[in-house]
Amino acid sequence: MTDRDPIDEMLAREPYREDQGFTARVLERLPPRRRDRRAIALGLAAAAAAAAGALSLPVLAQEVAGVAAWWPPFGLPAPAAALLLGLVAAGAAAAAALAPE
Amino acid sequence: MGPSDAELVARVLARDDRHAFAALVRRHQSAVRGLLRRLCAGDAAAADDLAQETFLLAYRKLGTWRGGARLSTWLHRIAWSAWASQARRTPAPESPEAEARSPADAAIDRGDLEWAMGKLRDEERTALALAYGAGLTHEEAAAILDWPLGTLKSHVQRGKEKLRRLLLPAGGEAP
Repeated sequence: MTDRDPIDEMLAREPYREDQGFTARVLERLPPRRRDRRAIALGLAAAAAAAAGALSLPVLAQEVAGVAAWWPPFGLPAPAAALLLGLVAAGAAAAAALAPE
Repeated sequence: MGPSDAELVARVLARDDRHAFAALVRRHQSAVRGLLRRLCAGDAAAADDLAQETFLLAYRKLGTWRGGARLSTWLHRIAWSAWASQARRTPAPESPEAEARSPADAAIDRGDLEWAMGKLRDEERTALALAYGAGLTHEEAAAILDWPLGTLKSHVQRGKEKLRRLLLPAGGEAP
């Protein structure tokens, strides 16, 4: 025969608690996703590169205009066109990174 | 049967998978909130705030979880630490000397138990909250608290005796 201790029984009785929005509240408070943080950093880098490009492009174009071959599709000197393409690629990468999964 | 805790943790760590983390929270929220409800002596709002803190901290520290220990044990440790550090910052007011329930009171319900838990010393309440209802063995509870097993058992015993005096009418039988 076993004497059940009523205090033991009370303590061991732990009902399941329904979630009732608890998980959603935790998720709301999580820090931004790593993927989002990467995308933000990438976007900032692309913006900085674009600004630097915008500032240096006329000078660069002027310096290389005499020696560089013209790139027919853009009508720009090859180095400047390459820089422009690089900026477009960076922007596209940032947009892809920011896109939801 | 869904993926194991270890699989879900791996997904969170590998690609910050929020669905996997949500699954972990849903799986363990009841036990963590129950533990904190007892530690907070029935203060549901405070317990849920601490439970949220527990899971946020767990998210940040997930990489430190050693697969050898059960995730639930690890979460209980974090929950207890969160509660203990808050208790240090804002100590609860001294409880008046515990008074037994009137024998006229009828059935003992959950609220009564939580009320009575609030009358215990922090060590006794902690020992009982972890050793019962959280699904932990006494050894696991002692390890979480970093107490010798004998110390845990002493606090459990003293806490139970106080609960008995508070909750059970003379004679010691539950109504």
